[in-house]
Amino acid sequence: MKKALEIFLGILTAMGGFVEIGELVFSINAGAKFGYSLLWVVALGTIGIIIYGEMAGRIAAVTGQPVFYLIRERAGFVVGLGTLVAANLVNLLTCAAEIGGVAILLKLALNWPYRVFILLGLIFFLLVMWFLPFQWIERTFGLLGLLMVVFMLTAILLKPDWPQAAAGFIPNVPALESPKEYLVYAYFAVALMSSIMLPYETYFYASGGIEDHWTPSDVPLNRIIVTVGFVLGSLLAVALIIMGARLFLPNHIEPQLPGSAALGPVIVFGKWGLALALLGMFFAFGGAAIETCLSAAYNLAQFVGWPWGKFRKPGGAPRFALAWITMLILAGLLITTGVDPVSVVEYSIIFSVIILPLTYLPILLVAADRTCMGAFANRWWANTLGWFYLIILTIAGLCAIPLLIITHGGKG
Amino acid sequence: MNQQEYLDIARQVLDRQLIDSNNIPCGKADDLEVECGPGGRLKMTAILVGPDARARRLPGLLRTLARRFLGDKVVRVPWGEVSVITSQIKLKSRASELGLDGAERRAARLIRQIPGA
Repeated sequence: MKKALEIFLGILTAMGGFVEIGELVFSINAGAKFGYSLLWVVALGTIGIIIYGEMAGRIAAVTGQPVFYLIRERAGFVVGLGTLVAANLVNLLTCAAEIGGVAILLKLALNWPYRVFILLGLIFFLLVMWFLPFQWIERTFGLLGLLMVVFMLTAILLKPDWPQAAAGFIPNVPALESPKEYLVYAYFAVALMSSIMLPYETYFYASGGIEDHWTPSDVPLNRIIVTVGFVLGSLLAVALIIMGARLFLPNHIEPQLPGSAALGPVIVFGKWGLALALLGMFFAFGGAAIETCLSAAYNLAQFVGWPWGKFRKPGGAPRFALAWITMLILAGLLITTGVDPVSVVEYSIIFSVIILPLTYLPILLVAADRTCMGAFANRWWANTLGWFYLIILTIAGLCAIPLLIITHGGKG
Repeated sequence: MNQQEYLDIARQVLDRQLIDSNNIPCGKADDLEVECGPGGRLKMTAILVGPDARARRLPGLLRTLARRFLGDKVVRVPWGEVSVITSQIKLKSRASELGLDGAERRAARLIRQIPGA
């Protein structure tokens, strides 16, 4: 019974924590620009994050090793250090964007100056992270992030053309007006894929398993949570694309995100829709701000060998605590300079694709290694899928920056 | 892993996590010290831990920068201190007895000034 509850809560937490500002921005824009035709990327990315999330969680449960132990052991010190620096820069950008997103949402609700909300948000996150235990943070933000389900209901009530949406799940390239548009399409495909497979998700998920003291008996739990939780979470991304396609594409509107995301729920549900959408996004972005900032501290502590984890009191893992405090403050300072959170999101997502292969290769090598994993090592199909995604991500990683430059960040 | 009759020091020791006798993480095997005995036999003598042991592994300019900003401290953990090697390396003594807790202690003094730590 206790196990069933744990699985249930785990699934809901994984679902509620699936969407963050990057995914929201790229999903809605993908729908607004290309209708349903990029839905297949959501499916592709979701299977990818399930495969690698499951492997990272399984390694954590079986060997107690988080991702940055593996990166340093398998990629070596120098390449590992490069990955650490890149991963934490991406974490910093993502965290800054999430804080900015939260401030924009608060500004929509109460019309005070933007920077006041950045400061309030920062203080709120610091207090939450200092005082609440790991599982409380994870569950509170995950479960309240589920208010985003209002976007799913909105998408359904906007009466999408279901057969056409279903066709979008088959990989396709629609007929577009100019060659440049095809590049924009490719840019969105890469960005959407990256936003779903963001590297911090595996860092955080594996470290979280160790925070929750997983053992090999938790391998099935890990598998169910990842599969069901991420599939349900991806439906939120699907809903956002559909909403973009139904609401913004026919009217040629370029949505001002994240605020105009609430437009859909407002049209369908009125005042209550607005409230639910804003609250859902607040907890989804807030949860991601905390997760990225904790990820940065996990990565650093795991790479250099410090005691780490929220299960230790700050006094028992002082350098780890200093690391996340510093990270949160740096992210706050970055966004206070007035940079647009949405452009920060774009950079964080594009740079993420580049470090994805470096993050996932060590995970794949260890998960496949029988001397480390024993009976829990990858079966042939997990290895095949693992390598398949590694190739796709490497290609996406090589295209990412050229596409960013040529398309001016998807603007054509 | 214990039944194996040989130890692959590059894969099973270098860059692995060290934990002290209380299972507290206390650094990584940043570098290894090997001695050449009679007849050319190599013998592991120590695990080296700390910023300088890491800096040595970086290329030119990065090495200089790392030493400048992170210091040049190295702690030598004699090989005889190793208790068990699994996916981590367990040591026989406490981190404080091995001199591996300096920076952690200084950080703890700072963080404990905040209420709730």
